[in-house]
Amino acid sequence: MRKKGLKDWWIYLVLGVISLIALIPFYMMFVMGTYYSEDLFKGMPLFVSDYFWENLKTTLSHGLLATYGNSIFVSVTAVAACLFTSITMGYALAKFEFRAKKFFFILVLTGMMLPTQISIIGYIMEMRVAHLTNTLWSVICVWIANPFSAFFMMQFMKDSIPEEMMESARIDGCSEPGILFKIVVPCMKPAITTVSTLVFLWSWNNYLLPLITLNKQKVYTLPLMISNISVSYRQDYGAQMLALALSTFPVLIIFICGSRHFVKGITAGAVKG
Amino acid sequence: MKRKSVSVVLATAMLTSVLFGCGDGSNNQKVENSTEQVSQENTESETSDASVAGEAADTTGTETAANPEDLTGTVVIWDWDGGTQQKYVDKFNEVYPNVTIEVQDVAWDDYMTKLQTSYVSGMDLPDIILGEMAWRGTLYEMGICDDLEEAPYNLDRSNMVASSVPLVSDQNGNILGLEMQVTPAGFAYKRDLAKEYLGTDDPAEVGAMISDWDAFLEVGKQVSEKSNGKVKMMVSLGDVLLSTIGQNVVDYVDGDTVDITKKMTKPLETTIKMRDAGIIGNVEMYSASWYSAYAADEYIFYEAGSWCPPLVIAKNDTEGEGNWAVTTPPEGSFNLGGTTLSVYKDSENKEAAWAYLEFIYFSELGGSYMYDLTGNYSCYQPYYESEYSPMDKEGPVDKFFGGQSLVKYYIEEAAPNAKTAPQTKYDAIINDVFQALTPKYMTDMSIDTQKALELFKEEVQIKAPEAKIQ
Repeated sequence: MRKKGLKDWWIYLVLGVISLIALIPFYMMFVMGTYYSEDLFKGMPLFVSDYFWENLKTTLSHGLLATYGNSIFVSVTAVAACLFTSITMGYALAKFEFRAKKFFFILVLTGMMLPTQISIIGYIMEMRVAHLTNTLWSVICVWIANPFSAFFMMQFMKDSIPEEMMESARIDGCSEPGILFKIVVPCMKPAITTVSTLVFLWSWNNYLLPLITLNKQKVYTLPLMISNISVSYRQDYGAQMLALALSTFPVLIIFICGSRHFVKGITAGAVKG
Repeated sequence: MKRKSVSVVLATAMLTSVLFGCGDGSNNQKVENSTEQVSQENTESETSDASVAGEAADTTGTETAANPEDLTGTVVIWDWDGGTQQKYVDKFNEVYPNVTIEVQDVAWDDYMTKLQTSYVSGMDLPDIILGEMAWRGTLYEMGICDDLEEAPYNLDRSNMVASSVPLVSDQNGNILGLEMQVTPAGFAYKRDLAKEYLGTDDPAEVGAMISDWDAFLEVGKQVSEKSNGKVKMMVSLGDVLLSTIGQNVVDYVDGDTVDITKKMTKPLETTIKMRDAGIIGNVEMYSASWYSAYAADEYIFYEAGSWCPPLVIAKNDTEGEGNWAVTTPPEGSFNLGGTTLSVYKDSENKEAAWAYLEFIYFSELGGSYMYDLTGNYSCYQPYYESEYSPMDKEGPVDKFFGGQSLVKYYIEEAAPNAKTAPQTKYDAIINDVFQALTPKYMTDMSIDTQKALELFKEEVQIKAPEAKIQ
């Protein structure tokens, strides 16, 4: 018993050191947000400094609260829209046989293989024709057709939703949409959490698309706002670090809440049962 | 059958949403009149709108609208220093109340990415486009800037400071922009370090001590010896290379033939010599440490284009008031950086855009506004001989420079001696390559001039595969 405890102690020490290495950059980000920019380079900023309020004022003057609201709206809407389309697409491809199934499947795979940078010009043209540029919808719509999410949902449904369960629902007289939303979706918690977390994270951190489609400050998202804190000839790293630290909170909370399901989700289908 | 139809409906719904996005949430992309008017700063001379308008009309280099109040429109500018631009906008709106100038912040690093992608994808471009030196050649070759000597602008090039004309011209000699400020360079230095290590802080004496790069090298060795290697002459090897590239103004582009040997041999030779002597700091240019080095007491000289004192030096060394001075660089002045303002060829507000550009950047009154508000020097030559001339006025950062008259240095000494050349896309490529290779030159001591030149040629060839590199 004593031997086992000693062994555990070493494991925890190693894990602790590794965790520390992973967490130090986060800690530094928060601490650097309390420094006057030029003081950051006078030595290693290990402890909290006294410039927090000034940096906060700077970030607020750049519209931190409004951009926070924009980012939350974009990410939440993107997640909701992406979940709806990826679940329906995945359901159709995983559980039904129909004539154009192969075509849709290839379409999803092709979408996954195309790098974002290549498809971005076509997408912006699409948004321009739809008169959606300079609106938050231009950075939301891109997530409606997220091929990775559709593929992920399809794989999850193939492996984790038994045909027999759906058959019994049909025998009991449940409608097809009813089967999807009342039977299948509740069984997909891990996959839904995983896709939600990833899409939230990706849309939250998206920079290139908002940079090109959004021109007005009132529709800026957080990454754009943070980048514009140093638009002039002085790099205000202190304020930028604080803004970054503040923008990390929602992502951290989302990840912490969903981490259990997230791990389940990414391992689902790895082993066929 | 039922299952099949459900699957087709689901898949079609998905595809429809993919292709058509979010339906009818249309939003007019036209720029709205949403600029918040920043409260006007009360200047000492509270002149009535009408009289200022009259003066403005008299002091511009081209034709002005008969009545500024009749001019309407919304002009969009993408700028990375929106705060400064807004100060000018406020002045402009005192005379042109019905023109809205909307200044939109775009980070410097992202400017060309945003501009090029927006242009290719058919997005609206701003009415006024900024052309920073690092990408000006590329911008001018995109063919999206109007020739300002044609209607409705009718700019008269004889009114422009001579050294500015090539810098705002494309290879065909068309004037595609106005300079935000005249940009000859000097070497700024810290007075306390100069006194301690050079024995004087007088600009003329310091300038004489570093009259050429060999003298600069010798002074550097002495400083290094006195300070036990602690104090360096400049922060980054990039500073030396950029200065020497700016000094070596040669005709190196002939059609597709790009003579990199002619353009880069001398600058690289000087740079490698400085590196080998160990008199230059090891900081990467434009990095966070490079900016913070303005406040450090380890470097004596700093490259200083005319825009640097107010925008870079004073902002990055907030406690350095009175401790700075500027002098002539080794082998004379050169052009450093600078930004031009061009009118987008498809702008629907060309007249309003030009009214703004002319009022601020190409008139006597505009020149005085710029000087008073930011310390920038107008590229409008008659301004310097007019009643608004800044030559005997104290500039906003003169006190920061120990009372030295910066306008006298930059306009009387530096500008007439700074050689300049029209911009090509190869200048932008050279700038990219210079930034990419300088860290390598700094760290790899085995690279000599010949090897450095070969590396430079290789990189230019990769970025310009169509060019014949010599």
